[in-house]
Amino acid sequence: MSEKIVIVGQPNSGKSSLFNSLTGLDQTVGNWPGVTVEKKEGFFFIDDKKFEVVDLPGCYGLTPTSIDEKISLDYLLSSSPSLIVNILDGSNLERSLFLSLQLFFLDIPLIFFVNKMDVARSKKIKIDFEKMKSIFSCDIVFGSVKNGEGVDELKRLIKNNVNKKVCETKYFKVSDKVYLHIEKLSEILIKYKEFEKHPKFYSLKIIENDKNFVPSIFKILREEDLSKIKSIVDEVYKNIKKIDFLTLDWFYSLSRGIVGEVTKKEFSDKKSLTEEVDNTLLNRFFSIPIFFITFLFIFFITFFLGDIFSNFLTFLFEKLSFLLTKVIKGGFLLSFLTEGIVGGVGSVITLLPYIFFMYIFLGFLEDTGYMARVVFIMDRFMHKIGLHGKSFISLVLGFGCSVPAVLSTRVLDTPKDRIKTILIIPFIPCSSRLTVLIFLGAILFGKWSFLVIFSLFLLSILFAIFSGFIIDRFILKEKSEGLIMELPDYHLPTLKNLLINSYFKVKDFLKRAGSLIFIITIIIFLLSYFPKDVEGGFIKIAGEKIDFLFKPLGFDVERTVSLITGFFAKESVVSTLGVLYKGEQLEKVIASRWNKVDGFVFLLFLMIYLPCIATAVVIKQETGSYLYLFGIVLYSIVFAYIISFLVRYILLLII
Amino acid sequence: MKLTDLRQGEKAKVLSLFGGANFVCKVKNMGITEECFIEVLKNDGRGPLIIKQDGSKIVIGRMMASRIEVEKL
Repeated sequence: MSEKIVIVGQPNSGKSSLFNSLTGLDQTVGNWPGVTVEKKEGFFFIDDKKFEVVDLPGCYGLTPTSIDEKISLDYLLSSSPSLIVNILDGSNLERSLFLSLQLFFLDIPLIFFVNKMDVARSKKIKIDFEKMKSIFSCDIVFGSVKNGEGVDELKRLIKNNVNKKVCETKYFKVSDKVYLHIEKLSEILIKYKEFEKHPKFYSLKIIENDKNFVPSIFKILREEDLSKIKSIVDEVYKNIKKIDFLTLDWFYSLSRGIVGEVTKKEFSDKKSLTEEVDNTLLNRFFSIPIFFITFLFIFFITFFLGDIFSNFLTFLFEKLSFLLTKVIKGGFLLSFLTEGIVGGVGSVITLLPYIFFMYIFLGFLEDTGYMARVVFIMDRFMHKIGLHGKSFISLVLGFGCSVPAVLSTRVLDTPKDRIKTILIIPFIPCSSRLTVLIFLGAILFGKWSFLVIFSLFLLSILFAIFSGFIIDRFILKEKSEGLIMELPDYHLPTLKNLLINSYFKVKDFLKRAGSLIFIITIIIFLLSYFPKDVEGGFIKIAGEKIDFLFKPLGFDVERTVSLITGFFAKESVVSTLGVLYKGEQLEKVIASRWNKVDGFVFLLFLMIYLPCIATAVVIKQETGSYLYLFGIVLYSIVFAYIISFLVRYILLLII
Repeated sequence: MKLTDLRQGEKAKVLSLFGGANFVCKVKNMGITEECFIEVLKNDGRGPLIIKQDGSKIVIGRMMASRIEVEKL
């Protein structure tokens, strides 16, 4: 029998590092049911005993303000884990304890891991371990995941603490009358089977008057209990000013009290290193140039390193095809293996290096704390399209792949912000589109390809901004509530953590998009192979039927067909062209058959038209509406067509 | 006065938060509660502000900051 434990902590507390350090590679990344918020599960052994561990999305407290926090809370209330491992930031106990104190109300066994003790020491914060242990009756481990300090002790204590009786803190009882009232409310609520597991938590919500809970609680209560409860609540507010979320003030004053008692901080007037660095990086004049240089560098290095590995993989696949032609003598089987299987798998695998490096570098920026600064820098500009700085991170992720970018919008606070951001993401040129762009651009424009690719890249970003305006002005006019977030201190990420996180991101991508691309390539192959007596098969026949639509843009049947398959996965544009221009080397065909203007227009169209099917699926899932999905599909096709048409005729006039 | 009226380096006490339940809850979850003390680390006169509260730094959008009433110390 394995035990189920959960890791709960605030953002930036080192939660995912702890999770990685406990489970290593024994983890799976999936989704929470119904929503596409990432769910990380794993397992580890302590002396032959198996522990299953869930890494809950970070939450500041138990009054959720984002989907992330709501998921964590729902999970805690519904799943009854045998132990909560609460990770605290030792360099910022006040904030951490705000959550910890609330966790006591869940009546679930609890243990503290006070992380970042190395940072606390360097900040000259002294924590009196014994005093802190005497305040809380639960076990507390002090350490640092980064150095591995305290992790073994934590494991030992996890084993001792599962299913132990729920611990308390004397602090609640002595310091405030609020707790007395909560106990009174709990006595009533515990009689109901709906509340018997977490009576104190629901009592807390009643006092808070949390609209997410109170109406449904009151509906269940019997008449006589309801009136008793209402009179208790009146008593709470009898002698104090009625303020919203009184309990949150209460928790903060408690945690400030505890911190005052257990820590000593040497006063220093010196600015911290983080503040010194921020003076430069967030300077009102330098911040934007620094930001641009950083990101340009990251894109450059991603494609530089990606290219090396990708080319090597391409080389291997070519060798494999060559070997196959030696072994198998012509016919269907050979075509199927070389064009279908090797071509299909190849187009997916050769994309992986780009995605891997993209995640490594974006993860690096995230872990160092620079990403949070980007939010600060971009906030002002994002307001122009009715969004705020946090949305910018999702847009940046869109350069990697739209699917994780759409998923990342979960940290945004309001549904409107999420939907707006989700609708802009498909117009950010993703790495799949970029690889097609780079591949075809290089063939068509030779030494000028860099300029052409860059201008197409800029054009599509401009279009993304334009779309943001349109959505903001005409579709979702409601302004975003604004930005509030913690600015973490800078710190150096560990390579191990970066590698583990990127590995699982790539694996997730492979699972989501990879299998799809592979299947599509095989289907395209079959459709182009049969019927045998027609050159180009079914797909060419179908292409010829709709070809007239794309004639004004100067596309031939092959390009028209490749656009259709591109809807399933953007990379398959290249593999489809490869399959359709049979028998000849793709580079040669394109160089001889396409003229430069039509080639440019084709690439432009490709950058804008339609989100790929994987993105379409997550858009539907996340917005919960076909209306948005069809809206964005229609919008993108119409605009791609109009823009490509205009650009083509302008270019033809000039040249 | 409003939080946005404070200049870089100035310290203040938070008096009240004006807004709906969601706004109040979000601000309080970050540790900005009534009666707490804050310091403005950055206010460029445009874009978001950075404030320091206890040990942590918080980025807060200009619009949200303008709904926080403070008393300069």
